[in-house]
Amino acid sequence: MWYFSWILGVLLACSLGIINVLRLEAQEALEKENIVVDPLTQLLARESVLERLQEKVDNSKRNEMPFSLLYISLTDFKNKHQLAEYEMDTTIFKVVETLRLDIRKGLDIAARVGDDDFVIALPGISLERVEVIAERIKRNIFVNVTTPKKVPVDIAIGFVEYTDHTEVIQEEMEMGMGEVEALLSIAIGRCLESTLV
Amino acid sequence: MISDAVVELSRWQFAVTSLYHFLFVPLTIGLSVLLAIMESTYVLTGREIYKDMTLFWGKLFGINFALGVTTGLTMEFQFGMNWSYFSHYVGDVFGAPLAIEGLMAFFMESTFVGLFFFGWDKLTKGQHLTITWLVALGSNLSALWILVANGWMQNPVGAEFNYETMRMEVTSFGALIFNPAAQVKFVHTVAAGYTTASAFVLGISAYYMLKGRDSAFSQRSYTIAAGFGLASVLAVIVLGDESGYTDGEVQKAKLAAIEAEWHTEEPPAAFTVIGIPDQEAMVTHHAIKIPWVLGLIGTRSIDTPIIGLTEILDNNRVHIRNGIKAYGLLQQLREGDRDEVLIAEFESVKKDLGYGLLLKQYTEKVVDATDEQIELAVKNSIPQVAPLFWTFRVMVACGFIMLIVFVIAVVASSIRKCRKDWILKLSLYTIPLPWIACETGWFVAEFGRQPWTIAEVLPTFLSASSLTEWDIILSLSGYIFLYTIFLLIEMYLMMKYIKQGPSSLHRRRYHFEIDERG
Amino acid sequence: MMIFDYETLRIIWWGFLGALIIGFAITGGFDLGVGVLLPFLGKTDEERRVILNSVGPTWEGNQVWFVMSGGALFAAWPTVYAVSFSSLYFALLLTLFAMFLRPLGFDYRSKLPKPLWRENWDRALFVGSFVPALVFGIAFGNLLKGIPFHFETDMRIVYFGSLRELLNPFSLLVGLISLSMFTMHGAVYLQIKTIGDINKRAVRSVMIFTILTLVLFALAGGWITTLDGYHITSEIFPNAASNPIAKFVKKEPGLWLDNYGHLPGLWAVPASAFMGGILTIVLSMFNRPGSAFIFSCITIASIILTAACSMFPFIIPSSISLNSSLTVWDSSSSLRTLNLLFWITVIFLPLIMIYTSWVYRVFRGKVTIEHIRKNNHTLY
Repeated sequence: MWYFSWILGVLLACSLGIINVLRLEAQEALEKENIVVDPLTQLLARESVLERLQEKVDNSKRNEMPFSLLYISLTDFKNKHQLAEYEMDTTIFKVVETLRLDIRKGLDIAARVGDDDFVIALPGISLERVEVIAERIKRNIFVNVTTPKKVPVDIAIGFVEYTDHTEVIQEEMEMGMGEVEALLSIAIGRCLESTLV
Repeated sequence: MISDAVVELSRWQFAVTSLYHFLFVPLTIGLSVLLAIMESTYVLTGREIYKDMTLFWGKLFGINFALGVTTGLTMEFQFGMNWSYFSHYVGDVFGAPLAIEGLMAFFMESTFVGLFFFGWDKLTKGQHLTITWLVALGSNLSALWILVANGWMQNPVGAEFNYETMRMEVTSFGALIFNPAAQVKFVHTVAAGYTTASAFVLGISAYYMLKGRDSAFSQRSYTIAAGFGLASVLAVIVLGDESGYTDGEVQKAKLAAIEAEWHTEEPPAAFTVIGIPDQEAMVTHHAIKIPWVLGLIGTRSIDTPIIGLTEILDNNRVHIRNGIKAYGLLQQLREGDRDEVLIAEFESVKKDLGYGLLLKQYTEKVVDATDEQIELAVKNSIPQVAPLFWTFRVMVACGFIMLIVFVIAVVASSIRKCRKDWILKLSLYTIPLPWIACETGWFVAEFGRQPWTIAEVLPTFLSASSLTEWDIILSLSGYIFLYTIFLLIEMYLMMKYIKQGPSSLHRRRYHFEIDERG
Repeated sequence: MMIFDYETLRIIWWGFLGALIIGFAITGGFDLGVGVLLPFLGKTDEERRVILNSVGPTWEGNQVWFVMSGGALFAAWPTVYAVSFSSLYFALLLTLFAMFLRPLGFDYRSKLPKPLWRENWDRALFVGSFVPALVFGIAFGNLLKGIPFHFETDMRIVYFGSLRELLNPFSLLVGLISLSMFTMHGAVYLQIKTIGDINKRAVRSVMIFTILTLVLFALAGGWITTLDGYHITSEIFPNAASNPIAKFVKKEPGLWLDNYGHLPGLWAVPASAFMGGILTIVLSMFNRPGSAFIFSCITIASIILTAACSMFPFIIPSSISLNSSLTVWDSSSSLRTLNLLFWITVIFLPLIMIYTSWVYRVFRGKVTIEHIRKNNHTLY
């Protein structure tokens, strides 16, 4: 009697294990569908990005690994050259194509957070390295991407590492901002500074 | 006359080698099934991550499996080497399930395990999945047959003593295979294996999640382990209960000893949660009891009593006196007398022959036993209560703690974002519990059967080989020395691969392989 | 379902036991041989990995033949199991300890890259193959000589020998035969599975060890003519219950050749050992290692059968208490047990052979250094 129930029991237990994980898969698939994506560039949109960024920051803290943010803006470039709507669309599309070469699949998060603004989160990258990466991206885009009117694209780029200027983050946080928002605001600030140079 | 020291040493050696063997077996039994589940999910969904899971947990399985095989060789040999009288006396019955274990299970398990590790590129997805299931089936079937054998030691059905060959011989294989003790032990033990493997995978996955590494991988592993583990731990506990009930029917002395049930209480008997059992005084000091519980779960009725140890001892006194008579008749038969009346008389008392053999510890001739010797034999015809009382409670406590942990784990894995640190830490610290439960469980099973190797048929002290003390001191030291080294090596390798995690697969998508650019 | 009588079942089970032992010798045997050859045919780490991976996927299944022989002995010949395992205590202990090194050696050796780790496991694998191969023969040699054991009236087994006595010259010779025949077999297998330098060395080894095996076998054959053999002098009751102490046995030099006198056809068995050995060398030299393998199997089977047929019906003669000797007629399990085991074996053994050969087929082909490099982290 028990031998027979063993066979049934094992099948039941295995099914439970498989069902449990298939349910997880379904849940994740559902969540993926709910992620808001920017239609033009297929990058994450602003609404989806903050939560994901917080997760990555938490992970890096747990793992004692560095974490950096890149803020890229074409607003200044657009204003300087007074580009039209359609020109911007094409240019942004090409810029993102080039950016993709530097984004590590499955690891980095790239998002379009404004009409002409982008954020790339780089877990595991420290300040020195992100500086080098930022330089490389700027140069890459300048050399390879042009507007429809053949103007080489000069992006404004600002970067911040999580552990960098912790006091500054603390200040911003005291003003009521979240961790990620504080980081973003620093990055935006530095991006703006670079355009003033 | 075999010396006490030789018997003691032989028992220690068997205990050490079998407890050591059982450090690795439950993980093999359970993890093989978990691997089959993971690979089934891979074949069902086509997602590579499940293949990675099968490969990684399979690596850990391999490290463990090697020592399971190594220590298993010892067990196959030890019956003949150290328990030769046992092997002769019951080999006709006991040897058969062992041989069937080899034919049905070992060949399948060992032949296909090579294909499991090395055949990925040579087989289709479906073929390889079948292989993995067959490896799992093989390890489970080998548990079946060895437990049929052990079940027969606890409840020797389907066999009778033959005076011409001086041994037990099979009368019914059906009774042997469907022995209720064997059935219950089998399902309980494999369920324990499933629980062990689930706790192993659960805890290690929790470790990765605590470190924030490889979250997709560890979440899926955690989820599978939680589901499978909950079903397993429930089965273990239910079958533990069933074991107790079966003991109440076929191994009354063991049940009474485990529960320190000194006297037959008014049914339904109370369950002693904790206390200090005193075998000399036949009483439990500072006992905390829950009324009715023992009677209800042990007999599943409110009016069947649980036989107490005092009553059992009284019964044994009668058995022993019958046994003396049986032994005397046996001697006459062995001398060649084939009188029909003699044979008939022997047949009527031969079931108590084992009890007569108990006296051999005090007097070689048995038939000349004095009343004092008989009283001594009676006193030692039940196991020591205190060790059983405590180890049993440790095992049950571990079981219930694991039940709680698995319930929490299943709930946690259902609420995806609920990856609270305390749940993960709890899962991690649960890892040693199944091992503690398994070892204490086997202690209860074997120590509770003393003073018998075959309950009521063959006493332990007679079963040992007539070796010298030095023979066994040498072999025991050898085992301890080698086994300790092997364990250290195995743990070192295991920890190394656990720390690396799935990055050790070198598939270039896991934590330590983050492609550092810049 | 009972279709054979006790006498027939006993002979069948004598045959099955022999088949299992031969089964181990021709499967596990070449694994042992490969392990013995490991330090000599593999000069670099990668060459050694090639050698290990030639038997890697299948060695564990082969070892089961060994475990099965023990299990079948316990089930069908429990008294033989009890006597042999408790008497040969230290020989078995040594073998067991050596065999411990094999599962760990295969699985753990290449898991760390440190050369010291790998070299030590290579040594362990060598010892783990050398010792069992040698002891296999030493055990057989002692069976031919008889073991000094004795039954008390309650059938308790008492052994009067020592480890030193087990290592007597004749048994050591038989030990060298088994060592040499397993090495020969391992060399043929390596010739099948490898290319290049290792293959060349393997061919040389086949020649050396086959000749050695045949020479030693001939020597042992000559020795047996003067060795004490055993013979049952009382009436044999092949259908009676197993009671070893109810018979009379005599011991005389040359009695092991008695069976050949009664059945001259038996001479074909040792003859086929020689024929098999010669064909092994020839086929190996002509680069037909697959066929050479078949004949090296025949050689090994014939050598073992020669010993078994010479001793029939004795399984374990006792050199000091002749009447306690264990024979086919008085040390088997009961009729019912033999019958059940017979049917189970008849169903499962062919099944086992089918899926085992399928596994070998899946892994057919040469093992090369490139293959090792490509699968660095997954292979042994």
